[in-house]
Amino acid sequence: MALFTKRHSIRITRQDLGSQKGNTLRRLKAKIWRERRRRRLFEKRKFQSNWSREIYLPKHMDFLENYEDTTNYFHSVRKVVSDKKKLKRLDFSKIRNISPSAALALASEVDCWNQAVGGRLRADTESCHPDIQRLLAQMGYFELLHLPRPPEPLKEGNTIFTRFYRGGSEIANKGEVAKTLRENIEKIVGRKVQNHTLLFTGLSEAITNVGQHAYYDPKKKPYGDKPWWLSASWNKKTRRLCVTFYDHGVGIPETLPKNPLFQRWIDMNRESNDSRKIAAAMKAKRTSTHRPGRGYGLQDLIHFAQASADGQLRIYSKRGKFQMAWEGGNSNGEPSTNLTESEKEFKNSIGGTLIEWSVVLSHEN
Amino acid sequence: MKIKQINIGRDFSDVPMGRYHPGDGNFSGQRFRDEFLVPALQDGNNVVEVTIDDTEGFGSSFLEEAFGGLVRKHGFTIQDLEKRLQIKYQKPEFKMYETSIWNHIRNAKPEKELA
Repeated sequence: MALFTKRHSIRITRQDLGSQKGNTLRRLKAKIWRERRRRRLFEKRKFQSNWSREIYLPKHMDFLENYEDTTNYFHSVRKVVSDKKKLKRLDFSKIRNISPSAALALASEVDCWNQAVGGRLRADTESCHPDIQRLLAQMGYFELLHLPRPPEPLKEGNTIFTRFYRGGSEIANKGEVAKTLRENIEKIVGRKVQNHTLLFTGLSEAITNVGQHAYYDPKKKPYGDKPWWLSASWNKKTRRLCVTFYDHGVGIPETLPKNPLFQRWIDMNRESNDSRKIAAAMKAKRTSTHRPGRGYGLQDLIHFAQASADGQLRIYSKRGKFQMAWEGGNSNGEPSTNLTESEKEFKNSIGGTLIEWSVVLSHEN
Repeated sequence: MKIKQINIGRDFSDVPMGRYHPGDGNFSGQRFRDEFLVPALQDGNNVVEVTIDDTEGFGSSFLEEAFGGLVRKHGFTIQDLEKRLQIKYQKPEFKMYETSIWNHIRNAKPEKELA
């Protein structure tokens, strides 16, 4: 006899009905409840195990268009790292579009997994889209995942990526990384980058900020080597250069000085206002160190985008995004004054701070 | 007066970066100030010419610690530095770093005075 319930069918034996005359119904209900609970737990564990150990990356990975979904996948990789689990499989076959920033963030998560857990990882790179395969090869994913590179030379597409760089407090000459990136950008662009000294200025301050502020969390122990990641991409068709810098630190909103009145107002409104905090940090000389001569750094991030044609600076930190976009401009280093600013709050945190410079390079040298 | 020349790119590093030594790396503003600027400026008869354009560029942290730190940490006065410190460059894009250096010097306050 089978008793059909809404979710599961549970087999009831003759013994259940015959031997338990008075309490049959009660015992049956208890058995059904126990059985349901057992199956529910089994399904949950099975799902959790597979979900965290086999990650199927989505069709579109992009912070601009698909932020919440994209960050969800990064959180799942980070969960594997924090649980020190073996990651069995990373499936790239469904991805059709991945933005330069999302590609760097994914590389950073895989890099962390590699350092913390490591081991053999199945990644179906052969079945993935040629554009994605090329991106993986250019950014250095095959080396990162210990996979053989595709045998045939990959056809060149519109977007070319530099390999990604990992830095941290162990590097004595951090400026050399920024210089190498500039040289590699010039290789893929085929000429000198306008305003490259301003790019160095921005990167210099981003790197210095990570070393001094990003990995300080009073509730936790200081992180090990304070890692950060850096890469660039160049779209030949649109002539847009995109440079991305990412760290897994506490985020800009956490590193601002605490103003008790401001904090009370936030608590009363019960709303996340990370984007406003980023905007405030960019505009004013605010520093958590309260030391003289400090608090200039974030404003240094602006110069490269401001002095370039159609420059954009996007900063994602914790749950906030702050964007500055300069229209027009002539790439001669003259700062554009036509500025549009925007702020946005998200449900998910980006898990650190991501800085993206996006500029158009002109044809002439 | 003697002229003492320092070329940051050739004598120190073409990729100067960061504020403190060794936390921010080997080519930070603190190290440049302590090993190059202060010894050169300590001789009161020296005019110090600092060439800045053989480098990749600078961040504010480096410039503030190296040059603002002369006033904050080592007690040089703004008037003294205006007389004896010269910033040299040929590439026009380095003009903004010269402006920034003088802003950091003029905004700096001696730390003893602050205390």
